[in-house]
Amino acid sequence: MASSLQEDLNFFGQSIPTTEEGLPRESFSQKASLSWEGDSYQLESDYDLDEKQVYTCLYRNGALVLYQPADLTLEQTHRPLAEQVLSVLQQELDQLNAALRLRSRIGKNPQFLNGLGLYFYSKNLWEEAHDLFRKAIERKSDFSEAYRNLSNVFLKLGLPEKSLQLLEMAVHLNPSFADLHNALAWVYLECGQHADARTHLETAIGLNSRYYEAYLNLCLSYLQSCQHPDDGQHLPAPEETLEILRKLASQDDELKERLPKLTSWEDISRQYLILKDQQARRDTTTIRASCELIYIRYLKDRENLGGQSLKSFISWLSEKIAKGNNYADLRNYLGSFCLFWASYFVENAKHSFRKCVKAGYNLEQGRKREKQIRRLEKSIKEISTRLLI
Amino acid sequence: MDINTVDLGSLSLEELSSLIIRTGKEPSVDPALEFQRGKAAFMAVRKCWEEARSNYRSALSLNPSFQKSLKNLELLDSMVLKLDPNSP
Repeated sequence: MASSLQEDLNFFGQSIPTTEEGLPRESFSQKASLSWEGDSYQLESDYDLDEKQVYTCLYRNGALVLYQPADLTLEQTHRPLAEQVLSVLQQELDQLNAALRLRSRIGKNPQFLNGLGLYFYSKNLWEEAHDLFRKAIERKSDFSEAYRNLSNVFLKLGLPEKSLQLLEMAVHLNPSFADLHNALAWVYLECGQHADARTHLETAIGLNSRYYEAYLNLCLSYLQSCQHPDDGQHLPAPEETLEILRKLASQDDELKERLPKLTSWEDISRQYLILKDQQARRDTTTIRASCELIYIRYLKDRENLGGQSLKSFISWLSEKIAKGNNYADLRNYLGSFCLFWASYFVENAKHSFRKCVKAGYNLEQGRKREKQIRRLEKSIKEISTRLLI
Repeated sequence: MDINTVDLGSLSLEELSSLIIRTGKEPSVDPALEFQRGKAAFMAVRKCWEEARSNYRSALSLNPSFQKSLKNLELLDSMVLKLDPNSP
């Protein structure tokens, strides 16, 4: 006897498969897991046939916390799918393993604590991120970036009141930090407290007159506060928002051209969304999180960071920069990673010349080179710890 | 690409890296090859410095007041100066 579902489908005179069993759905699925201090993490990579992309899922203690499309390098995309999936899984596993291991290796250095926290934040591992950001603030009470990061964790956890409490304290301790005022204002906006939000946004702009994000947030606050007429008529553009966009236009020629055409609340609202979207596209948090992890791994766990992994990362970062993320901070990371990479070549050279000297080949040159290598090693080691990231 | 005949100075960092990895995998005990491999690694160090310098300069051209890259560039230049200008 046919099921009711099959009967319904046959009613139209066509045989439609109720499942997709007939279609070839090849799976490249790869899985790995690790446990750390009582918590378990599972990683799963596969090729999504519908989205046509390799992805990774991360589970923490059995709960899915992250679905992430893989960010492959050009070289990786040329490999067969099965290899792509495997290499993505290995890469993610290597990074997660390193990050978990590093928690006990970085000591109390606030920059490392914040940087590692950012990696966990980028993987939606809120508990791990929270712990590290909190420690970073404990060690450095004027660490504005760590405050912002921790407040974001609270927002992600649906705890705006905790975020508010933290940022109010941060602003009290560091009243001259524009980004803290802006971060606090954003939480006030989330809570619908427009007067408080505006006070802090105006302070942020007073401290940094070119603070694009703060202007946008101020614009949003005035847009949200408008009372729309009940008769469905268009609301004129609020004067405060026009004034804000005029100021932004001094940094943005395209906006300057569009400005005379913005006459209604809807026009301003649309323009705000465009600018906010442009700003969101410039957000490099995930890239910076990966850079921070590599930086900390090199300095604190170099024995587990192979030259090949560093090389692959450098290729990935170079491609990111070439594809529209050409920002000073990312260039600075890339420059520093190239210097780190040099240390691996020094090791190669040391190994080779030692072999030559041992074999008695070209002794004079070999010994000279060995001497140069010792100086190089010392210099690179020294410079690596002094680089500013 | 033969490590014994190629002009190492004309290779990119990527090519040098591949050459070093490839020749490292060969089970050779030829000291002449090892010597060339060592020279290639030295050349790669120089290229790494050039890449680093170029990226710090790009950062500064994007943001001339970016202190981190300014300091890093100074550090790099002072290190290169301290070492023998002909090495690596």
